Amino acid sequence: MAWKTNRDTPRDQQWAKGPIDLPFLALTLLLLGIGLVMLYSASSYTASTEAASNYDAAYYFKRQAIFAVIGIAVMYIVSKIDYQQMRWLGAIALAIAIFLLIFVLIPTPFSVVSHNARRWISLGFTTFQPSEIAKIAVVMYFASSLSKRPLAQLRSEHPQPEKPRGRRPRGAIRGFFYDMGTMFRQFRKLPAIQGIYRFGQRIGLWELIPYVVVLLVIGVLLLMEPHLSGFLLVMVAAAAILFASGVHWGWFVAGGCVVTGALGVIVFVIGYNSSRIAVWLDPWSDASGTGYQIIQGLYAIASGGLSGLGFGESRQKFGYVPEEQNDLIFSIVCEELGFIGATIIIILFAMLVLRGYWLALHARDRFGSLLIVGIITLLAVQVFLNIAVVTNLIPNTGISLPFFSYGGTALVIQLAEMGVVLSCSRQIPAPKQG
Amino acid sequence: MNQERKIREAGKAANRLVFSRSVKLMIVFGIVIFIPLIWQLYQLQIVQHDELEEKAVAQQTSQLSVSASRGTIYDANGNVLAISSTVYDVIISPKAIAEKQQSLDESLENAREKGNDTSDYDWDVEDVVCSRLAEILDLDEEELHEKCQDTDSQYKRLATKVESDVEEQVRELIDEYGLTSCVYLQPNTKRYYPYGDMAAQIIGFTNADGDGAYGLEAKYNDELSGTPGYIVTAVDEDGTDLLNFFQDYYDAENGSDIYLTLDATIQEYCESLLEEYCEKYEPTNGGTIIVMECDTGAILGMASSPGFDLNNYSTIEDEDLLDEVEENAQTLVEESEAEVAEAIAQAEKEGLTLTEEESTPLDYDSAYSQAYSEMLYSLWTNKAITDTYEPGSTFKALVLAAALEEGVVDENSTFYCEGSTTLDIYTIGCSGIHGTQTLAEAIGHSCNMALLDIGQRLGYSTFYQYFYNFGIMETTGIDLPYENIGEVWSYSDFNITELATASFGQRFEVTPIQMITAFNAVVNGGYLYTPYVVDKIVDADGNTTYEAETTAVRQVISEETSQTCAEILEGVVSKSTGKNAYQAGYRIGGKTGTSQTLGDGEYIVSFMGFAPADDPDVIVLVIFDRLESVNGGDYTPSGLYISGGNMAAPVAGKLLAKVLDYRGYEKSYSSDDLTGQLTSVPDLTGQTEAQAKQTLNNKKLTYRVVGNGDTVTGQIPSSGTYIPQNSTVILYMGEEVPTDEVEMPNLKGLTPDQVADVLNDLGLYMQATGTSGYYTSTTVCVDQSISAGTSVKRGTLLTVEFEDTDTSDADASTGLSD
Repeated sequence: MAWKTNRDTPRDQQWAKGPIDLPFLALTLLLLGIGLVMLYSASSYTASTEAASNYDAAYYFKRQAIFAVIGIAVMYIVSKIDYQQMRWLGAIALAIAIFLLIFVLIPTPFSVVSHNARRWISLGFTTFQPSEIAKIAVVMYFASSLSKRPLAQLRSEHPQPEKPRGRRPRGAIRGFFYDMGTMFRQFRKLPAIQGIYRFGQRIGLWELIPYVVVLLVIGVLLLMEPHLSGFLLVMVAAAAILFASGVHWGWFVAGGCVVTGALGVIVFVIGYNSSRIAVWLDPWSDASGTGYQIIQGLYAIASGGLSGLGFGESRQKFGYVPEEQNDLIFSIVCEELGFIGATIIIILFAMLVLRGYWLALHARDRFGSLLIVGIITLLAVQVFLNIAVVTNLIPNTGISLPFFSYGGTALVIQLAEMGVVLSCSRQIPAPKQG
Repeated sequence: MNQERKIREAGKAANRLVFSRSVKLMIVFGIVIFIPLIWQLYQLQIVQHDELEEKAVAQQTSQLSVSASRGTIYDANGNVLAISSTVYDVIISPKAIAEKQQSLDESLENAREKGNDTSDYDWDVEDVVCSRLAEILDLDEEELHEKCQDTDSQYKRLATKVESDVEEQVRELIDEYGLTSCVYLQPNTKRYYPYGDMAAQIIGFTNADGDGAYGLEAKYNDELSGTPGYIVTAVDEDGTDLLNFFQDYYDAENGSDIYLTLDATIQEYCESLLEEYCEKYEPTNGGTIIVMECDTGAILGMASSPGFDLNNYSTIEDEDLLDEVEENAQTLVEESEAEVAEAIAQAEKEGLTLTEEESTPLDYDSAYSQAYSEMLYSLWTNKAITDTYEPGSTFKALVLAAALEEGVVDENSTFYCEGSTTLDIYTIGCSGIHGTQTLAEAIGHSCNMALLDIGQRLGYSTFYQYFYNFGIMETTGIDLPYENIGEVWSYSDFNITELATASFGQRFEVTPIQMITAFNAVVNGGYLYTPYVVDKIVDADGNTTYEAETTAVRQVISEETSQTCAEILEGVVSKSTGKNAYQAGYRIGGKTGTSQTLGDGEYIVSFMGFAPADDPDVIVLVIFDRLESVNGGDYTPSGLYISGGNMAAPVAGKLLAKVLDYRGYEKSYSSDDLTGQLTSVPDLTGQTEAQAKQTLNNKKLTYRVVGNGDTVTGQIPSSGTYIPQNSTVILYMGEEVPTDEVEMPNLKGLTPDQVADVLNDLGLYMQATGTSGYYTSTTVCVDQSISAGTSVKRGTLLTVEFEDTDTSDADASTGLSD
């Protein structure tokens, strides 16, 4: 596709005005639409019985629809932004995210405590999770930083010749620092230190340090909330970007081993999580307690059978499935639309993810590619974790389903992320004609 | 520039790496991770669909069961024996009461603010509910208040199965104060037994849940209870109905009605006779009467005494029984004390310590409740099918039938009795020294010597085979629960003494129902019928789902043999030991039975009677169980001679007469009992003596003349009066007919001849009844229809009941002595 050349604007800006990727947009809107309708069906009973929703069956639907409209607008605006601007935005976003993650832990009038966790910040009309900001911030920062990786590598492979040193300054303090510098230079030249440095260089250790530090800070803050699913998402997305940027695969093998070991410790040492495991293996062992949510979800899913009970015909939504408009909405989807409907929705998600990666593969630059990889991996992992939890494939982590679960700001942020992908898609060079 | 080229190349290499790495991520996150999700959905939605959906539906629906009304039990004529009716449980909802109070308080506040009339709202819901319900249901008001404290509860049952009058009062209360959700009535059913204690052990009763617990109610519980219907409603998690969602109705199927062969009238005869004579004889274990239809095996009546009231089945009201319970409780306590004392002594000897439980004897209260429930169980027991007894001489009829059938004796056989004989190491005694006797006479005398001979002629194996043939070795299969089986020696134990005692029905036990079924085969043409009490079962739609069929298990003896037996057994009643069962106008056959129990030396007397003897229609068995004798002698403490012929036969005779009359049998008189037949006295006034003589001859009446006139001027009795044939009419010829009344004398204890003389002198007429016409010196009057001392007109007819008190040819008690 060609676009009108405007001689008055620089080329970069002309590229930024390219067409967005219609298949990706269509899939996004389709899933958003299905999600909204299913949210209405799932939440109508609870909404009609709660004073908080003013006994309005469409309460959740209306609110979500408003946020969806806002989200689409945000998505459009974001898609219009030249994503190259996000290279420098990444570091700022990261700073803001870390600030918010610390802020949410401090008891303030804005903090919301729910289920023994401090994950939300109240804005009065709505709440949002700083972890949502943290996710996209980490993705942006990692993408922008790692897109410059070849340069950094070259620089470290070909170090600049050492600058000759001037005379020792006179002042006592400045002289002290001069001496320290001299000592450091001599220290660096020690063969052992040189050896260690070279070894680290060879295995790519030194380039990882800033990323590990960022992830440690974010990760610890998220676990302090605690917010296990947010932690997992950030880690997986960051790992995906690191992987895509070409970091040696050995690090991922090592990382995988560490994570597996850590999980093992968590599972077998910490009681809270162990009982979670026991309930996962046999939800009926505590059917009226911790297993209740899982069992009710499974009842809903199984009741759907092959073709489902029909839209709006869920029985489990009548107070049985807790959080039926939130984390467990997919169980109601399964009940009403059956195996066929649920599979179609999973395939739509898969198509959205594949299209996203396709865009990453064809992005104009590495930054675009890594940005999309980060965002789409976040989406894919979130979908996987949600459905895997609902179907009891993995232990419960408490995670929402993109486009389906009720949650205004999360939806807006989700759509904004899609906007970023669409923004990247604008700058994909048109395939050559003929 | 080398440096720039290097950078560009490094960039391109990095781009390629990013591309290939992204492709890998694309495969993992775009395809691979979704595969387990779809697989898991397949597992849940397709593989485990049914299993989990069932559980889900179970929690999503509430089933409200609609009870099916229990079927009715009718007697043979459609009289209701057991019926269910709707009653109500009274329930309160403390939660609703609290809510009502709250809304009331709010309304009160409102009204006060607006200055409106507050009287409608100014009352306390709980107080009203508690005080009024306490009054209506006769409950403690404090307790009701306590129940109201549990405001989380919506269901507190205050009373169960209240009748319609109480129900109405509760409804009024609800309407008056608008307490619809606070107090409510839940329909329940209650079983009524209109006849109370009639056929109690047969009909049985239902438990608190309305399920059959005993008797026919238990046996036919499935048929009677029907299938409860239910309403399935979708409910939300709180259990609130989601009425607009879905609702399914499954209609209740009401229980079937059961029609019995029992006839309330005949049952009433049985029970009143049994009660009357149990009072008179005071048998320790009560008594049993069975009335059975000879040609079908249908049970027309079956009574066991003592009985109980079906409407109040777990309470003993009879004073004597309660005394007995107390006695038994005392015995239990004493036994327990003795046991404990022994255990303590034993423990001391062995140096052991006993637990507190082991060293504490039973206290009186728990002993009493134990004795009480034991008594209840014994009252509930249907003795006719559950208890076993020694049949005694009634069994001789079966031996007779077997011997005739096998041809080892015939009607012309003679037997010699010298009063006793020695067998093995035992001496067998007889009730008398009967000398040479025919077969019929031997049976009539119930002669042990003759039966011993007959038994030996039959031989072990043939005799034993007849235990089988007569159904003694198996249950009869009557359609009542808890039927027992008799106790008979095993064949290997059936030796010479056993054969001897078996010949006269001793040292083995049968149930009454087994005995009557077997005896019936002797007289009804040889057929052993399966007895039954349920005639048909009709379902709620009026379709007959079951109809009893007469089932002949086997033909034990031939029609001819049976007929011979019936004749011989008729002779027992008309001439011999069974004559107290005689009822003028009916041909009754039967056999007496007396047996002495091994353990306590008490007696069981019985009589098996059937009528009409030429074509038996009904057969009855009357048993009085455990009659105490004075010092092990032959008389009860009240001076009655203990024998089946003396005690059971009169009951059986009366019962048969009533039953035959009820079943429409006309009395027909043989020439032997023409003495007893009534004829109307013609009007003889104005006739000459010759004319009168002629007229009276035709009527089979005799006369005597008072006065010297030519024509009859008056007569006693007056014309139209019925008097027995062969009676004397007094003709007054010119003389004044005496109009004074005479005082009825006491006839009891007089012989028939003495009675006739006394009555003749007074110008009274007698119809004799009670025993056959072969009056002996021991036949005495036992009852008169007009009691002594009453003033009666001359010419009045009264019925006089005679009974033979002869002991010499009553049947043998224990014929066996060492």
